[in-house]
Amino acid sequence: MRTTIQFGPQHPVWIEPIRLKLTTDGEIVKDASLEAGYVHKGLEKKFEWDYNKAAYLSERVCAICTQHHSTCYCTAVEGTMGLELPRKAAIIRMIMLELERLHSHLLAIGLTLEAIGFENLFMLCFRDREVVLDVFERTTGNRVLHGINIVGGVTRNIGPEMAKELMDFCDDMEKRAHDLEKMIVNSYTIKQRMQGVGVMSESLAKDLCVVGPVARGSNVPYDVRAIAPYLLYKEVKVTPVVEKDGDCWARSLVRVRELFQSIDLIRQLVPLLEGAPDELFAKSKALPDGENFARVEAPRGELFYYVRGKKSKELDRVKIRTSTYGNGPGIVPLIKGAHLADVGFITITFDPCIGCFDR
Amino acid sequence: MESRTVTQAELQGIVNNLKARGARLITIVGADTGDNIEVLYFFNTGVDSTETYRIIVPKAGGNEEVDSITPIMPASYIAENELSEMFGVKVKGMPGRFFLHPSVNAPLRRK
Repeated sequence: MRTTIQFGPQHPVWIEPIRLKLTTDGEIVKDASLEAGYVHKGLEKKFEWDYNKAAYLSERVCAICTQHHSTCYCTAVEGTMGLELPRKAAIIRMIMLELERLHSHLLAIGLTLEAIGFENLFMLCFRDREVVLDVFERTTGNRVLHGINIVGGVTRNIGPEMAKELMDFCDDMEKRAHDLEKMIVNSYTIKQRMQGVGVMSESLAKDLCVVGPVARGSNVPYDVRAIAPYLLYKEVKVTPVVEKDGDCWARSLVRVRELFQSIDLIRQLVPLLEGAPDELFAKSKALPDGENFARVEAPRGELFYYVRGKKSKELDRVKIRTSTYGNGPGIVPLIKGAHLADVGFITITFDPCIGCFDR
Repeated sequence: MESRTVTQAELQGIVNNLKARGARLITIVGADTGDNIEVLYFFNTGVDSTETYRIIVPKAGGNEEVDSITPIMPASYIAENELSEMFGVKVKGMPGRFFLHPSVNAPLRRK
């Protein structure tokens, strides 16, 4: 007998509201449909105002990848103004981007573990995430909404003392990440629960153009830092972290391995600060004119901003394509045929950010 | 930003060709330019290369229609529905609603 179940919009497994309408036959999901828009804020319309203020607005799209949003927005606007970013500002932006990837992945790993009932390890992940947030507070003055990106540069410098603190932080974080990795990768229980669940094949991942750890967990090496380097990613070594199996285990492993990649990148970036000229901001005499787009690799995947200027302070059009928006079409095919008990778990391995999705 | 303006009929062939070449859809962007609605299709075609195609749809009092590329590239499902609900441009074969309540009509369309 077929039953229709409303999964969400308020469901304990998700922090934000999204609804899945599931048609089940016993324990197996036969059909599913996705409904979003519960936190639609109309931000794209709001972006049609002062391009300087919009940098702060872009941070408010998502509370986890704030720096990625503002970097992507600023890069797109700087392109319409023909503005060249000072080297030091680019390095500082990149350090912040990689720090943000660390705390976002720790959050995603923690929530995945909580979804399978491993609350203790979830707390350990969040304990380590606090360390990253403390570093944000020391460097930018804010834990979540950093507010350091402005069109043309950044507002805060990283001095030699802070650079040393960052290097010490990398040593500490690497040790913590190794401890977490040991606990997660060597756990028989976690592996048994995750392996073979919610498998996305390589061809499906390519067809649906999914991004981020979801694509890389399905053997698609799509990482914007490697395929279309922005800022100074050409100068540092980024090799996409790829897993072959495409299941929940593979997606989580990609995130665990990317913790080490981010720590390594911060270690490569901090010494670059020393030789860079002490200039944080480039002033432009031109106003945004014409069209431009920018892409960055946010923790959840490719983030895209399209900006159209009209030679005035106000922007004509801004379009945001977030990572969850790119991964959205992948959720339904994975749920079809899965056990009802796995539905929440499969969706949480996508690391969905509904605030990003709805905008 | 480089883009190529094409007709709707040409776009179907281009997307088929891009799909065969292994290109990925980044997104579809709509923009109201006053007399027209512009629809931009962004594709990632390889390492450090993207292609952008633009179709220009003259405004016809809310009766505009564009062809869907979802049968060729399923990734465009959400983007096409969003284009439809935000600009009031009908995309053939699409429900035309994803994020917004049915009572809200084309909020990004200018008069």
